[in-house]
Amino acid sequence: MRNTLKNLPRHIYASIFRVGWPADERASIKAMVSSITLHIHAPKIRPGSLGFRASWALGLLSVVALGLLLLTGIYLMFYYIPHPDVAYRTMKDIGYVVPLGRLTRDLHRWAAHGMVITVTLHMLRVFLVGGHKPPREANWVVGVLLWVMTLALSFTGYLLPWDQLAFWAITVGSNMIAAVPWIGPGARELLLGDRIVGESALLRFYVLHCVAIPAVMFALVGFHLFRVRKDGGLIVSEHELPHARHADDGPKLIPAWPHLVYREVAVGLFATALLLAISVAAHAPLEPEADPTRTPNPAKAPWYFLGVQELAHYHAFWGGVFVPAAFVLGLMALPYLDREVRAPGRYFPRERWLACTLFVTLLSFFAAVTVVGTLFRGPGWAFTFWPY
Amino acid sequence: MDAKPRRSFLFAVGCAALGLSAVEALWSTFRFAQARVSYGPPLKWKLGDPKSYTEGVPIYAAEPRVYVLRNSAGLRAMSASCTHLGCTVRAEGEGYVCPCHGSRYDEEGKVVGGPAPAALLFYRLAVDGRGRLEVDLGEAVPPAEHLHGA
Repeated sequence: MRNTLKNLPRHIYASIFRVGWPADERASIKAMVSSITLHIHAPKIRPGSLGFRASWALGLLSVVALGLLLLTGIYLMFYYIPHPDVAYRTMKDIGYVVPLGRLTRDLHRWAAHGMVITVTLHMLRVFLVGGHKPPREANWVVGVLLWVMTLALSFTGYLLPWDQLAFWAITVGSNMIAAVPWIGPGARELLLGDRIVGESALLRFYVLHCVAIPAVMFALVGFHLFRVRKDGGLIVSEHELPHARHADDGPKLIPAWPHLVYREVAVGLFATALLLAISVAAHAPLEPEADPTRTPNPAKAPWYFLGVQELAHYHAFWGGVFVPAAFVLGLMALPYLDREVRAPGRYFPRERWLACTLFVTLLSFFAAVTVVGTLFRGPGWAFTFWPY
Repeated sequence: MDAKPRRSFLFAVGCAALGLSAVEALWSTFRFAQARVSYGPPLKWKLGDPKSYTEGVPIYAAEPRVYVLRNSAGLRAMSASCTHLGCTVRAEGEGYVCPCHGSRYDEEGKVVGGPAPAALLFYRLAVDGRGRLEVDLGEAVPPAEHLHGA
């Protein structure tokens, strides 16, 4: 290409994209390999991993939600001030004064809820298909950490609106930490930076929410995606694997561009449109300003922590701390305790009926206490079957 | 490695030094995060004229989150912070109820139901130089300790 002014646009384009828009399979593979963003995928993939039921797109949906959260979160940071004197006022401004402020906040809230749901279902899906087994053990542990960080982001984010829900949810949550023997009270003060939830706590939660946890999270997401690829991509049924006896009979590998990339863009756009529609239809609640002297009745945490709050109702340490912590540690230890190595690439395979039943039971237990805590607990945390 | 004992020794020393500095960095982070200054509310609160607290109904002082109780023996300040997870208990009937997880206390702050692990705390009451009642949230006292003659 001659270096003339007329050629400048083409020159700039070619300097960024070494390979043009791929026209054939050969070019598409070249495009996948030459781009740092596209090369997150293998250039060629197994057709079995493309079906919606292979993954229900749950990992992708989580990443899309994370991207939306990052974007809307940065926008919100331009107006939000993390100080008890003004935090609530800036929340009101975002809701009523800032152009598109309410939509931005609603998107942030619903994407956060969506991410909690998709990450949890992603974990369930991966377990049911045996995705924690070798060679994917380490990546399973990283996945559990990402799940914990998703919840930690929600927890720290909940204080920021500085309304009654925020203040009392964090008061209860931080006192659960204090219920840990020996180190509990110290750990609580370390988190809050003070005796009670106040100025220091708000600033610490803000920094954790906007900087510290996201930084670690993005590093772990990078590792997670890299290892998904390096560990052989999605689990597909056995006859598609290269060591299968009749490898030649199985379906051939197909290029990731356009088959996978186009599907991902479609799912991403659909998820964004869905979240936008929800945000237009339903607004993120904002209760009265935080009042340390008055506890609302009942004082409830965000819905995905109500299971833990329900357990804490029985005992602050054993229910609120020990059971959840044991659950998370058990999840991380799982791939190293599971002695059955084969993953047949089916959901709920007969060989793993016990493991799958146990796991579903355990998650159902947490879902059940969450439902009880959300729907069937009235004032004073008394059991009310039909409070409406 | 055996063939080069000095090299493997130096490698081990290097690893140990790196490990030590990592521990040191963690410890520094831990120390840095420990707040030395509180920007929160004070520990001592003025509660006004002690005579205004009459026998019978407990009176709630919102900012220090205490109930001021008077009986024939004198005045006491009972914490309104639930010993379970720190929500504010409210007077209901003869006793107190926590709105968060349903802990119930009797009129003396003893647990009668719910998940609360311990009785409500009592704090030191005093009368300052200008005759005003003062509660010190930094000093818990036994429930039987009354402020006499105020």
